[in-house]
Amino acid sequence: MASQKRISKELADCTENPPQGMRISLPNDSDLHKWHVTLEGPSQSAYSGGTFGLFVTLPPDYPFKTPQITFSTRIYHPNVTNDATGSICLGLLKPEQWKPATRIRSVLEAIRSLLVEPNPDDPLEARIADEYKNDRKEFEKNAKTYVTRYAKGTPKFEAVPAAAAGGSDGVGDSSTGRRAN
Amino acid sequence: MPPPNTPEEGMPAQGSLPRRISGEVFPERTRRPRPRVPTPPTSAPATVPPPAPSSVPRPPSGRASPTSDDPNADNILAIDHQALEYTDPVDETLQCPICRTPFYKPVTTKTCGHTFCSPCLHRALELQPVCPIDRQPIDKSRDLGQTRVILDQLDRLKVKCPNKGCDHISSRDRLAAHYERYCDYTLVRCPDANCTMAIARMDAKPDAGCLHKDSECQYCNKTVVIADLEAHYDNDCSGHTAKCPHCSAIVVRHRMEKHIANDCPEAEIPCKSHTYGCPFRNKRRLIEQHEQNGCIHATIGKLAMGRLEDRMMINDLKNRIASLDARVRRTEQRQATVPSIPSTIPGSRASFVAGGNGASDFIPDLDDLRAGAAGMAPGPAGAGSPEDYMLAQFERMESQMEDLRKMVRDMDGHHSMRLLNDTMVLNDQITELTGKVNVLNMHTTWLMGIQRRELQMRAAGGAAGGEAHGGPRPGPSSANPNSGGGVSLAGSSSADGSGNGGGGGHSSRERSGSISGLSVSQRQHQHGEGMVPSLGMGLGQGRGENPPRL
Repeated sequence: MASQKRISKELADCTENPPQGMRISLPNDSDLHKWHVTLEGPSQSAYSGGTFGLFVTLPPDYPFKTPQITFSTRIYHPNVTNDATGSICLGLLKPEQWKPATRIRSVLEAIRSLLVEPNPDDPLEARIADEYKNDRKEFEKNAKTYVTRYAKGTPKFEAVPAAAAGGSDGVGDSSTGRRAN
Repeated sequence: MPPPNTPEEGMPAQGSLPRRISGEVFPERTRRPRPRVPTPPTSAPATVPPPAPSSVPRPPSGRASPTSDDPNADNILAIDHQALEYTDPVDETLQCPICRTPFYKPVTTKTCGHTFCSPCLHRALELQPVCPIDRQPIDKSRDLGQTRVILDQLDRLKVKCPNKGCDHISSRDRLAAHYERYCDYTLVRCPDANCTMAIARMDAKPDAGCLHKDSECQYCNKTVVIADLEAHYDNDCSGHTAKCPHCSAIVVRHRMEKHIANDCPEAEIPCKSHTYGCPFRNKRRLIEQHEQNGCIHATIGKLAMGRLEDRMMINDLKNRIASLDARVRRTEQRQATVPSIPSTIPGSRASFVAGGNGASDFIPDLDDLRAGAAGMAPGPAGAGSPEDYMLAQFERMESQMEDLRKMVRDMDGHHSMRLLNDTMVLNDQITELTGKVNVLNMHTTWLMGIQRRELQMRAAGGAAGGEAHGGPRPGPSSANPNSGGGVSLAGSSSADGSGNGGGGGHSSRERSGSISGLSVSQRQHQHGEGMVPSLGMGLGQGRGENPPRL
């Protein structure tokens, strides 16, 4: 009950007064625990002009457990897995750093600022992080290519993240795996 | 809007009371095997204790024992405070950052001062023993406390009763009393001691027996609990609607009788005037026509009704007359005892007012008055009252007059006192000001004198010595040869009565300061003693330094 009330409040807040450059919708009106977020690429970043889809999955015991947020649109970014899963590496979203008082709104805002300013020191994609650090021009070129290839038009939320169900543990795994590569 | 049966039902179950009003089952009761049929109409199908381990019988938590036979005592499900609806928007600062509802049993951390609902915080602490806002470590047993102010503010919030159908609004601290004791919609334990189900208080009559027994739906042969039959007919029953046999409208089946009796246009009903003997019976829509066309019995009915009304009015009037009679009798009785009183009062008054006139002179007048009053107003007031009344009035007015007189006197005294006070101050100020003006006058004449003398001096010096002083500030040396003239001038100015020669010698700013500092009396004192020496000194200085200028 508690989480229902809180989620509906947060949803109302996010739909009435959406975070900058975002639009929130529910894929299924009767399920408040799954949100679809449409995020405009911030104009001051390499992702401007792109439109990205985000899955937000709130666990049953939200806000005590971390919400899971993944990109449904592929994105070339040091902190997002470069695959269909679209897992995000964000301090706020790590289970050991999650605070029940954090709102989804602030998480979404953090993701948006992650697009403006990637965090190459804590990467999921080590190669992209290197490129970001050492060859910024190449990185921006690649990011723009991805935007034109994947992030044009309205984002598709088809690829229901079956992998994301594995939870944020999966995020940690994939990051270590990728770093080993 | 939220789905009725979501998995997060597990939340309230942890160790706390079942915090759900829509819950239908009292979990701590011995459960009877029951067919799985959706229970109360609107809410979730019996979803009680979730699949969490907490569904195991809980330790006795002060709730009713299963054998309790008092149907109202503590058989009530606790209020879900987080689901309460508030009449006004609640300030953000009074809301728990975890559940985003106004605090319920607020606790404040002693380390960082953050406040949460007690259940929310404990839940969060179970996962991680840190503050859910700033992650400061928290020890459950030491670091938590309550804040009185927050509690008081919360108590004053206005909430709606959580029961469906009840529109009671109260402050939050009184909600529990309404909900637990008075609200008819509160779910209480079924009066049957063997039943675990809940039922609205208004339906739970001790003699009604258990309403959770199964019964068969008469239309669809489903097994339904008695308490839910109504809702079943309205919503679920597969054959819940039927065609009206008369008008072939689709009607909810168990409301058919009502429909036929009240609404159906094709059902045959008697004329409204059948109580007056109209034998006409027809379909409802035709009955209306019959009545419009003028049912003879309707006219008779009207007359009969009129007569009935008349009779009722007559009865009413009779009653009123009887009560008036009684009143008249009462006043008459009182009147019989009254006359002795006025004769004593006027007596005393007569001697008081008329002085020489005896009481015997006054009483006949009063009798006249009484007769006159009785003639004028033969009402139920009684004959003794007019003079009583007038005397009382007179007395009251007199006392009022006396009051007023006193008040005017007081005011007058007050006023003159104030006037005196004010004018005294003003007078003082005026004398002081005139004194100051005089002083200033003297100063100007004295200064003018100096100026004049200086001009003369310059003219004389220019003529005699041929020494030219172009500047406006003649040097001290230029004054030296004429020191004798200066002394004589000093003498003349002292004859003018200027007491402030000493001040006059200094710079103008200093002088004004010394003047304003002096009071009239002081100045007068100076006139007598210090005048000449100070003047002489001042002049000496005035010559030694720059001469004062206006």
